[in-house]
Amino acid sequence: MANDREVLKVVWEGKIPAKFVIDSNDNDEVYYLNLPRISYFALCTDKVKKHFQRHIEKEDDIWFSYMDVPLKFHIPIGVIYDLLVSDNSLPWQINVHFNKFPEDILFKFPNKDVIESHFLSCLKEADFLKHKGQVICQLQKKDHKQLFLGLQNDKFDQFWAVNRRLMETTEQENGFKNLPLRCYTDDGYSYLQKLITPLTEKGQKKTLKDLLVEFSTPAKKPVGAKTHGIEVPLETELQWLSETLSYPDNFLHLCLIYE
Amino acid sequence: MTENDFRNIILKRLTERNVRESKFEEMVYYTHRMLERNYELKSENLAITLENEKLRKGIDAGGGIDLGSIARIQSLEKKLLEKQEELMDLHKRKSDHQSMIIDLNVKVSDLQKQIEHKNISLNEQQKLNQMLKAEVNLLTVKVGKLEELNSTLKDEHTALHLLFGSLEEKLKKTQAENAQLLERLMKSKAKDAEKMNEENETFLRKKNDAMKRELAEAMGSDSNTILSPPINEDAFFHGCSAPNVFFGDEIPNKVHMKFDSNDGEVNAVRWSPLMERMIATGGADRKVKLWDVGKGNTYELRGNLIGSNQAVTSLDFDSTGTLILASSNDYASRVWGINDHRLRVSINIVILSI
Amino acid sequence: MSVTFTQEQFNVKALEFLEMSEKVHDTWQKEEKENTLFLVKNYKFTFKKEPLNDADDICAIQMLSEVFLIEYHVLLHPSYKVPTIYFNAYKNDKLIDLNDIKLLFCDDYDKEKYEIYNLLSQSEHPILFRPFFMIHPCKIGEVLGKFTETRNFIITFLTLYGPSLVGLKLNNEYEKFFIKD
Repeated sequence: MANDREVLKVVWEGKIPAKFVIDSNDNDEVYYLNLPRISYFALCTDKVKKHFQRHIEKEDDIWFSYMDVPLKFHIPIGVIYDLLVSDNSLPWQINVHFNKFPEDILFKFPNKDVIESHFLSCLKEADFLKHKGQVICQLQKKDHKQLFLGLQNDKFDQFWAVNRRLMETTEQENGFKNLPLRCYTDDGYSYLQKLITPLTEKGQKKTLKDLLVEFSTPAKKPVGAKTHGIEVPLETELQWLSETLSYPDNFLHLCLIYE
Repeated sequence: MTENDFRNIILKRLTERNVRESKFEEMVYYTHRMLERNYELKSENLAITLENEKLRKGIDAGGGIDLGSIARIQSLEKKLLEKQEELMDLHKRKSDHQSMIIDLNVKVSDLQKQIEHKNISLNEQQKLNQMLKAEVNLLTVKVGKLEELNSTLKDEHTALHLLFGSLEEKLKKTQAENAQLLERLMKSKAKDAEKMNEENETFLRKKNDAMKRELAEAMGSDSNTILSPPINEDAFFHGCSAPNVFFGDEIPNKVHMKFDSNDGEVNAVRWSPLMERMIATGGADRKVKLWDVGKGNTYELRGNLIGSNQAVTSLDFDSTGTLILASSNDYASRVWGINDHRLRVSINIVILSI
Repeated sequence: MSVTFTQEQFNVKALEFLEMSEKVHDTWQKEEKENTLFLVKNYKFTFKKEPLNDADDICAIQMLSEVFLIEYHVLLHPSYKVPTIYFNAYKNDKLIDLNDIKLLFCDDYDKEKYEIYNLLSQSEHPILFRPFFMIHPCKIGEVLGKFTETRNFIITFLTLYGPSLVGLKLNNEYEKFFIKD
C-alpha cells in the first residue's frame, strides 16, 4: 500500500527549472519554465509554443533537444533530465527546433489524446505485470480520465484517489507479482526490462542491491541507481520502491550508475 | 536497514532536491509575469496605435462610427479574454471541490460505520442487562425458599434436641434402676448359694454320719480292730483293696472342658501313660495332635504328627510313653516318637482285590 | 486461459520458422541483440487500388504510383510475454503516420472494419528504441491460449493477426509443414 503520503507528495512536487532557447539566427529568444518532473513534455509546453508562436510553421513540427540529443515525448520529464544531464546543472537549457523533425528517433509531436492513450497503455502494461491486469479492468472510463486529468492539472489527491487502487496488494499476495520497472543504462535512451519479482524464492523482500545483481552482465556491473533526481539507498525494499517512487505511469524508471 | 531508515534517507534526499531545483522558481515566475505584462503592453500599444490610425483616418474621413465599433470590438475582446480566464479558474476550483467531496465522503462513511458499531454494542449491553435482571429475580426467589427451609429445619432440630434430652434422662433412670436390681439379684443369689452350700454340707455330713454308723455296725464284730482315721473321700474311691465292698461310682455329667482338637471328626483319643496331662487326639484331618491339658481350663498344642494319608481311626501309646501308634483309613499303621515327633515306622497293608 | 512464453521458447520456435521460411522462399530474416531474437521482414509493394468514390480520388491517385515499404518485426513483448508485431511503413522512404496506414490496410472503406485498427498504437520498439507501430498485446495471450496444441505458435500468431490487421501475407505453402502424416 502506497500510504506514505509525505514521500508521495514530495515526489509529486518536483519541478525542474528549464530554459528554452530557440536556435534561430536572429535572436536568442529565451523562455523560462518550471517543468514538473512527473509530467510529459507534450502536456507542459503549451506556453512555450505560445511564446515562440511566430516561428512555428506547422504546429506538429516543434521538437526539443539537449546537447544535440532529441528529447523524447513519451518519457517523463524527470527521467530525461536524470539520464541526459549528468552534471545536474540548473536551469536545464533546452533547445527548441521547428524543422528537420527527426522522425526516426522521435514520435511525431503528440496532442493530448495521443499522450493520454500512451499513458493508459503504460498503466495497463504496469498493471498486467503487477496484478495480471485484474485491477485496471475494474476501473471505469471515468477513473482513467480522472488519472490523466489529475496528472495534467497537477491534482495530487485526485490522481492518487484512483492510483492507490493500482498500488494495492491483497493479503494473499505478498507484494506485486512482478515489478514494472525500466533500468536505463548509460548509453542514451536504451533501457533494460526484465521480469523482476519483489520477493526472493525463499520469500524474503528483495532490495535494490539484489536488483542491481540481476541486471549485471559480465561486461558491466551497476553499483547504484538514481530516480527522481536522487540516488536510492541500496537497502531500499523493491516492493516499497515500486509503490512509492513510481512515476504516474506506474513504472519505476531507474538510471543505473556504473563504476 | 529497516523500512523507516531508507524511507527517511529517500525523503531527505528528495526534499534537498526540491530545495535545489526550486531556487529558480521565483525568477521563472517573475519572468512570466514580466512577459505577460509585456504582452499586455504590446497589445495595448497595438490597440492604441490602431485607435490612433483610426482617429487620424476618422479625422480624415470623418467617420467616427468605425472608431467606436473598433473600440467596442476591442473592449469585447478584452472581456472575452477575461471570461476565458475566469472559466479556467472555475474549472480548477471545480476539481478542487471534487477532491474535497471525495475526502468528505470518506469521512462520512467512516463516521457512519463508527455509529453502527456503537449502536450494536449498545444493543448487546441492554440485552445483557435484561438477562442479568431476570437471573437476579430467580436467585432472590430461591434464597427466600432456602431461608424458609432453613428455619423449619432449625425448629425440627431443637425439637429433636429436647426429645433427645428427655430420652437421655429416662435412660439414666432405667440404668440406675437396672443396677439396683442387679445388686439385689446378686445378693439374693449369694444368699441362695450359701443356703445351698449349707444344705449340701449338712447333707454330706448326714451321709457321712450314716456311713460311719453303718461301718461301725459292720465292723462292730471286730471291735478290736483299729479304727482308721477319717478317710479322705478321694483315696477311698481309688485304691481300696477290700474284696467285698461295693461302692457307687460317680458318672460324670458335667463337662469340665471342651476344645476343638482336630479339623473335622475326632476318631480317637488317648491319655499318655507317662506324662501327666498329655493326651493324643486323631481325627479326620489326617493328623495326630498332642495336647497338654493343664489345671483348670487350659489346653496347649504340644505337637503335630503328620504322615497319614487319610483319616486317623485309632491311637495307642506304648508302655513307656515314648512312642505312639496310629491306624488310618489309608490301609496303613504308623509309629511316631513323642519327643521328636518323627515318623519311625509306616506299615502299609495292600489289599488285593478279590 | 491466457498463455505466456519465455524468450527461450520464442527463440526456438523462431529458428524453426526461419527454416520453414527459407524452404518456401519467404524473405524472413533474424536479428539478434543480447540474446533476444526477433524476426524481420521487409515488404515492398506498389499500391494498386481503384478509386471508390470521388472523395478519396485524389489520395488514391496519389497512392497508385508510389512505392511502399513495410518493415515487420515479430518479437516477444518484454512485459506481456506474448509475440507481437511491430511495423513501420514508408512511402518513398518517408514514414507514414497512423491514419494513412489504416488506409493502406483497409481494402474497402468500411467504417466498422476501420475501428479494428484501434488495436494499433504507436510505441517504442523495446529492442531498437525507435518509434514503431504495434498491435497492442493485451488480448493476444487469451487468443493464443485457445491454440495450445500448435506445433509453432509463431505461425499461429502470424496467421491470426498478420493478414487481417497489418496486411502481412503468409505464403500458403507453409501448410505443407503442418499436414498430418
